[in-house]
Amino acid sequence: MKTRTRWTLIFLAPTILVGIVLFLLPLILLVSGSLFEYTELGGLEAMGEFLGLENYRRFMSDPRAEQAFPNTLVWLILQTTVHVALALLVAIVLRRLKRVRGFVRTVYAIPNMITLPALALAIKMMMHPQLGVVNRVVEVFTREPFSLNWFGNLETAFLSVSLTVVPWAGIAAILIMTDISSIPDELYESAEVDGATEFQKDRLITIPMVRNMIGTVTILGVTSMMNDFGMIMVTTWGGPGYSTYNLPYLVYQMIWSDRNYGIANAGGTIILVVGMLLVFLVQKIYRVGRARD
Amino acid sequence: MKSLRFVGLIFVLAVALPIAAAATGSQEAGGEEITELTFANFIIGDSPGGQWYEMKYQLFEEMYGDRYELVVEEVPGDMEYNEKLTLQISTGNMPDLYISENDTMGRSAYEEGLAIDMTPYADQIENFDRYYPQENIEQVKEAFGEWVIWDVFAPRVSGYYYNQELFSQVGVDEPPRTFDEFFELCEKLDEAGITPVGMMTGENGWTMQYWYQALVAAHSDEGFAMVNESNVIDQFTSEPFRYASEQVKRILTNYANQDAIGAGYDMVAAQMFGERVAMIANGPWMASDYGNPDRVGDASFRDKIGYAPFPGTPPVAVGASDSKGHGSMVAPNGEDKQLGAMLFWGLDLQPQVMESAAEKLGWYVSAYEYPQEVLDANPLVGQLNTLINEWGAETLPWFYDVWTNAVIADGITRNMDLYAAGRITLDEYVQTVQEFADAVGEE
Repeated sequence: MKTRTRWTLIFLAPTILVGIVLFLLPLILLVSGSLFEYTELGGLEAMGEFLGLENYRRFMSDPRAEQAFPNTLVWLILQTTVHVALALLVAIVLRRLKRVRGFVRTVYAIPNMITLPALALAIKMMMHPQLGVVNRVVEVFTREPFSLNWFGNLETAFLSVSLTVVPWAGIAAILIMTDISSIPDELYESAEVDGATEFQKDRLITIPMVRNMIGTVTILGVTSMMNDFGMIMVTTWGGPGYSTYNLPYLVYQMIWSDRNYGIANAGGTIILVVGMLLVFLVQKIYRVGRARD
Repeated sequence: MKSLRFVGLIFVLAVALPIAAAATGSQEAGGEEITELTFANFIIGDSPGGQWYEMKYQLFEEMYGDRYELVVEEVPGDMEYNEKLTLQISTGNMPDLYISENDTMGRSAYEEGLAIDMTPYADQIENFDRYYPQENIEQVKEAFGEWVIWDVFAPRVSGYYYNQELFSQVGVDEPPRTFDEFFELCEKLDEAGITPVGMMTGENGWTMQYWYQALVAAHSDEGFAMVNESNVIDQFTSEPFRYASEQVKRILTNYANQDAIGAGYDMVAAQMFGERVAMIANGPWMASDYGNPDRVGDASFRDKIGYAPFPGTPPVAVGASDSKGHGSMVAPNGEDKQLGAMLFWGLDLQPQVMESAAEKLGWYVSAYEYPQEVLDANPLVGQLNTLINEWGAETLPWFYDVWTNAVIADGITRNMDLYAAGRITLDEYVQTVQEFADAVGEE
């Protein structure tokens, strides 16, 4: 072995070891646990009868999954399209407003710095049927008493939880703004000399130049929707009924309420596989990692 | 260079010494070895329960600080505590002292050999023979075969709190004794623009579950028998349960706070403290909140509040907890630690601890004679006990022992959301709850 290769391996060894311990072993336990009767907490020794894909069938046929799958899909689409588009739009507009850029960046970062339970509680109180400011604003416009339980009404709970995710677009906007600021001014100056309009500059320079970052925030959007349920837990506990369940929350419930770790592992594996496929797809679409055109 | 070496030495010692001390798990103090006791607790913070535990920590330090050091791990939230303990039971790595929140947790810990029989330590605990309720020990022995759960305050009888001033506004001076009277009162309050009942289906549907149990009991002898036994898993399509479900829906849709569907306990309690609802069901631990200015603004607020047993015919049903599955436990972590843990639980029999529990939590030890000022400090619980005697009210097991499993409780609250909203019929609702119970029964 060449000296250089040997040293490369030596330096990589700690990372590889950590990767094996923290990611590969749990991954093996996750997948193997999904194939067995597994209702007692523990490692391999706690797994009972081999069930093959039965846990996957049970997970898919769970009545809560009927709600959790479409909910997760809709939130995923919202996060990776609407929110990313919103973030891109804001970033492009702010490219021209250099003076307010720093201020806006700070404002957008604030909701993401507030600890999640505090933010969720604030939003919940804003939308409280009697005490919340949202209903009062509606009353100002309609001039009639208005008292809607936004998070507790089956018609509006999903929409209400969806709104709680919007601040994430702020972080996406900050990331895209950072990438935009690294585009050389000369490109815009040349375009201006050639008579390009502002819209043409954005379409032909800005967007292609930040393609990598758009892909990256889209991947972040996918991963956030495939593993996050904190806001749901604080605002609705998945209710009313099961109307605001998502897949990660369903897996959480299967672990801590149902205590059926085999089915929960099957759910976790499904989320992992779907998440990986989506990340792969996003990378292909945005050609993430390739040099700027 | 020398100073650099010195600083380096200090740094190394500063890092190494605490690690070494932590690794040994015990310290030397005045030649005596101090044993470290670990305690995971969810009753924390500035709540009455948290304050009561703080007092016990200090008392333990004063009485046994030369032998033991108590290290408390504060776990915010009983659901989080439940999850933590479940995980620890599965790994067998228990804190020296812990609290079993329900029958399932206590039983799991016992079956895994993670709870000691407390009998050999009884004679080392001050006041044990005078005050410890022997019937509680018998109950635990009946359930487990050994005395593995410490609880001197059981049973904690629960009822519902009501705002007498709001009742008076609609011409009602006494709490209703039957559900007919109760619904009549609700109608009057509603017509007067007062929300009658504080309910919640979020979290674990706590305040709703009390009414549910009382309504099942009020239906008939069959219903009373159903909620008077533990671990019910096969009666959710029965007439009493169907009747109670309809009435709970009636309350939720007509007489409850607007955020009842999906609300958590804090939101409902705040509405009771803010006089936005006239009634809320809860245990005696809420009683001291009504005199706590931090909660209600003015301590005199408590004078407006009453505490009554639930309506019902035959005799009024009252939800209560007993000491079968919940209480304090000790892990088998060695003789010295076990003794220390028992000495800590034994503090419950110290007069100042019993009196503080009565004042702050409404928990009483039946054999202890409380000074009048202590009884006066928490008159609500006394009022409940008086009404129980006057009305000849029966005491039912706690609802978490009746539909004991969290899965069933979850099935009830979540599907009640759908039933109350008209998304599913009564037949579908009770059938779904029964399916949840069947799944639990198969385990």
